[in-house]
Amino acid sequence: MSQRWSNLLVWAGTIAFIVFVSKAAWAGNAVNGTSLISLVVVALPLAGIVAMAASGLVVVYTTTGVFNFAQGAIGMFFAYVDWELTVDRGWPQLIVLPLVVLVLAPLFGVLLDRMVMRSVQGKPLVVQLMVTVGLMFALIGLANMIWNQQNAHTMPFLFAGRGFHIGQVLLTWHRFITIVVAIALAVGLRILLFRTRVGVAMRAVVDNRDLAALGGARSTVLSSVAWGLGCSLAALAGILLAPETADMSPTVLTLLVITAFAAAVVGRLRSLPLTYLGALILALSTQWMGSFLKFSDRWTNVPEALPTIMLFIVLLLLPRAEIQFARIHAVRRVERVSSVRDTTIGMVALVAAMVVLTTFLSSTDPTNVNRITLGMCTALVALSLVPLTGWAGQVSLAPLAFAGIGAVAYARLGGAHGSIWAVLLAALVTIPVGALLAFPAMRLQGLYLALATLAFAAMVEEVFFSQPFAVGPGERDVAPVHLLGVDFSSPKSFLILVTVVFGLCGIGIVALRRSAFGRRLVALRDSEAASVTVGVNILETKLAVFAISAGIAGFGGAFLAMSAGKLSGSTGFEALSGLPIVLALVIGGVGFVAGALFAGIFGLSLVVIQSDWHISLWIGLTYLAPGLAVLGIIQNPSGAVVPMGEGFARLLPWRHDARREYEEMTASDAEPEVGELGLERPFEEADVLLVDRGLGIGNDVPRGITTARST
Amino acid sequence: MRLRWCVLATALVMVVTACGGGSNKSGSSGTNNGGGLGGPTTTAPATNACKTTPLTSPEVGVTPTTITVTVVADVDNGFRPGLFKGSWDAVKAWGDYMNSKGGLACRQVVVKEADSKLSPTDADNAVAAACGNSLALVGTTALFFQNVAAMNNCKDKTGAATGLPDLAELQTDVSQQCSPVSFATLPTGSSCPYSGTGVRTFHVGQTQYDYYFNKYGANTLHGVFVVPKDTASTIASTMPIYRAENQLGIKSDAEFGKSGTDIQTAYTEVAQAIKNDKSTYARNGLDYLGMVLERKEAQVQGVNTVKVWDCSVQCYDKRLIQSGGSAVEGQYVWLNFLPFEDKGSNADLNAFLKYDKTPDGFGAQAWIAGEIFAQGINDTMKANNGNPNSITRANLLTSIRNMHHFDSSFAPPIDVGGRVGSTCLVGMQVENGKFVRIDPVKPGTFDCDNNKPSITISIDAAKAYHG
Repeated sequence: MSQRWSNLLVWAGTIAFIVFVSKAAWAGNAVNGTSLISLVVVALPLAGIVAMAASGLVVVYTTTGVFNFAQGAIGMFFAYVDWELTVDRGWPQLIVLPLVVLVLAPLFGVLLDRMVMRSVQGKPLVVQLMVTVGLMFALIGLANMIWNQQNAHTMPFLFAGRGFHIGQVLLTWHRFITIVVAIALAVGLRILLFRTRVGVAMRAVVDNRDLAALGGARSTVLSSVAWGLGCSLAALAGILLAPETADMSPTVLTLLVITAFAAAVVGRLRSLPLTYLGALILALSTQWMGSFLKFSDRWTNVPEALPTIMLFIVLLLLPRAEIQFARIHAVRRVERVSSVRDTTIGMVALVAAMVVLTTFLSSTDPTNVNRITLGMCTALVALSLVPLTGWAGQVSLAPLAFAGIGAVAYARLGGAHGSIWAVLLAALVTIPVGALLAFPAMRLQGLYLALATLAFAAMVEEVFFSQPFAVGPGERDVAPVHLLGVDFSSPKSFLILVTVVFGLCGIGIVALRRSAFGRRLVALRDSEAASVTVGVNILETKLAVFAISAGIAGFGGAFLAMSAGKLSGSTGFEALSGLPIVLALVIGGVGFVAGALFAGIFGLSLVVIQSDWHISLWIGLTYLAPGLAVLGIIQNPSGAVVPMGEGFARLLPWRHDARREYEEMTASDAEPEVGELGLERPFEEADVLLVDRGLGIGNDVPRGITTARST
Repeated sequence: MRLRWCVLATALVMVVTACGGGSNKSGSSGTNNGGGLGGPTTTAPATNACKTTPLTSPEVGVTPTTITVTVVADVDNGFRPGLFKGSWDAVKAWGDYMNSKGGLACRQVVVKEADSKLSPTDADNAVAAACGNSLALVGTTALFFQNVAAMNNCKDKTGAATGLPDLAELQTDVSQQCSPVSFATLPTGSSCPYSGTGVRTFHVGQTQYDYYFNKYGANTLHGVFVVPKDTASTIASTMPIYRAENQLGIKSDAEFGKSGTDIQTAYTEVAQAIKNDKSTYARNGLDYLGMVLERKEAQVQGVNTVKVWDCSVQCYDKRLIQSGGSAVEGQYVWLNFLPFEDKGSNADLNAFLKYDKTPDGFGAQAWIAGEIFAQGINDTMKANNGNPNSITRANLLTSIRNMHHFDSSFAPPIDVGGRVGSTCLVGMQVENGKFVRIDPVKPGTFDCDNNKPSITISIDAAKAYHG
């Protein structure tokens, strides 16, 4: 189907959906001039705030190629700084606002760029995203540590809530200023990006960093400018939004920016005018729903799902992603794939360790056993991302959505009585759902796909769980599975069962990786273009890997439900709860079964810290830790399990290969790394000789050859 | 995509208070001068036995020298850090106070704190741990305590699945509300057993409405209701109250569903509806923040027709005034315990305020849970000839089930075993930035509405909501 017809179909579907929903949920309120003016007056300030936040996302993405999940958290943090200076210390807002927006926030942005973000450029998308997610957690933790949330933090409106009437609605000066500032920023940013040398260079850098560099653009400076500007916009949005929230909850302030994702995607993360249009549509739709539609029963959460529904639809309308040629990123070295035998030994050791561990854990207090069980269930869900994100390079932020669907399927299909068939059915039910998500994956790539999966997860959370056939307003009982007459209802036996299941899935995953299909997945990640040329059917491969991933997640969801004992709404399967799992997996190593295990243990350790270490600093660390761990990802994008595993393997007497590999790696570390076409740094004579040696060419290259930059 | 936890908290506390349907037997204006801890929960019955009976360890959580209880509460979480820390602090304070009076059943009270962290799993873990080391749960304030199997089937020292007695401050989940071993300090007034869906029967007291009708006249109130729509349970627990108010004559001009993550602009339509209908009554079922946002927006939009801004115990929070400022002037707040402003008028209240350095509304109710536990221990000993070694979960549950007139003096009498709350309340109003007692005016007393029975509502809350 052509792009045109495909878009037409999505548009028609969207309009039909809107008409249907409006008709079905019509509240009967009169639509007249007064009500419409009220709607617009209320929507505009909201649109302004969303637009500002979205602009920051767009500016940073346009210039650096990094999609900043922490945009809201940065805004929240500087709103608190503004509160600290104005409300707590009594400084006038007239001084503090420029100080925060024009000095402190940009300074923070520059530091962030230099210390963290510059290092993530060129790293895999999932690493880039998770670095910003880690930053988001770190900032929330920091705010909670600095500003005691037991006390109210109230930011007053500018001009004390005074304003003027438009129709029946009073528009406060604060909200009016918000609208004006948003418009002024739109104009200003447009001028900056299109009429100034810096702006043009900023846009050029993201199109082709190397080419822009050849034209004299200093990408590092531009990157700092972009982050400074992005943080400044975030701070402004945060400060203008703060009075609207009454108590400045760090989490609420942070997550309000999620709404901005949809607006930013309307502008395809490039166009500011379209981004503003997106913000306006979003705000008007939200108010339309609030004013004229009524949702109840199973559809109660539809208004909350609106931004994500819109995000999903907009993503479907995006042009089909072209297969990218000439974008093969050099890899430092080929990752080592574990053998099935090694994995089996590892899994047997894991199960044995768990059996030993359970004998030492208290029988009367199952707290620790339950925690470890939750860790293993989390690891099982994280495992679903290993083939999908780790090998095929398809970034999914929806592991818990599939787990949730699996949990519901388990509960509905015999899980209330612990039927073993229900576990298998849980996986089988989620497989076609995963396959369905592969179709958007054919159209979308990279970031857009990641956002589409996040939107999908949010829709599952808001709409799926409230359906009577899923969970509905009540609850569903879930029992641990019975297998071959063995009852796994005791915490210890259930832990062993989950560990065994994880082990079997892990072995299966490794076997898959070593198969032809596994190699196709890796080929797909390295280069879709190259894969096509060697005859890989991309649709089939993506369909299969999405289905496999969903099946494993559904399987994991069934065990999560068993460990909870009950399903109540979407509790435990919220879209945003999936982000820490992805984050932990990336920290551990997204391409490795051991990385999934690491994710479970990492989450478990944070739980233990939070629960058992009653020291406020450590509790704050449960948020800061993921942020700090992210710094480790930057240094080692392959994940923490790689050096850990290699170090361990070298200790084993029979692993000569590991020791030899280490020696080779150490030797290669001593050699200078070759950048892409030498543009990362001057391509010097020594490099030429190095390439010659690699290619087996003689010493016939003229002396003194240099690259464009070095000349 | 939202975070529901921040709103869920006090929305349900409100329900506990407002749905505490039942009857009061102490008169229309009950006076409590402090018989609670000074009376029924003293160690007097055990004094002699303590000297003559060798103390043993008759039950899990009971040693010759200590009785251990656990307070499970949602405290540390990223969404509302320290959410129910007041419950921890209050039960600890109650334990300290009991120990200062000689302890319970010849033993010192040890209070363990467990954090359920707004997580079903952590709630399960906390309860499972308590099953292994505590005699009972006291002051449970866990919003996501959904799986009560571990509590109901908790084995005692003999190996029998007696269950773990739970003297809960909050019972948010149906399974906890209907558990045979869970008893609320403020019974919800909702029928059991209940499947979780469909029609359910609720009892709602009339005290505060009668106060309004007396003050403003019957049939003068009509208004706008805000439903906390974040979860099915918040809707389910709010709608019966609103329908009861309708039944009592407060007509709904409009109803809106709002989320705990909504910002102030979301309340513009609420303010407009109030203005359009010249509403005289406004009620918000979210936590104090929801009310602050509604009041602030109403102030911005120039709303001036509302006579009654109604709220329950969730608004009895210093942050209501800190955040709301002048916008929350005139706010009504109804309590089912004596307000802290009554300090000096009641021995229990004085003790609570003396031992709990960070008192709040949650803490007050958790303290009352401690008092019920102490009463249960003393009743157990009385029923067993003062034998301090008779403290077992089974005996304690028997005592609690037979406790039909618990009077702490800090709170109105309730039928703990019968799960019937009291209709007695204390009305407070924000005046000049302070909570001021307005009904009854005399400190240390409750308005018991002349023993007027609560009204009965049967609805399918999920279907009744049209937000």
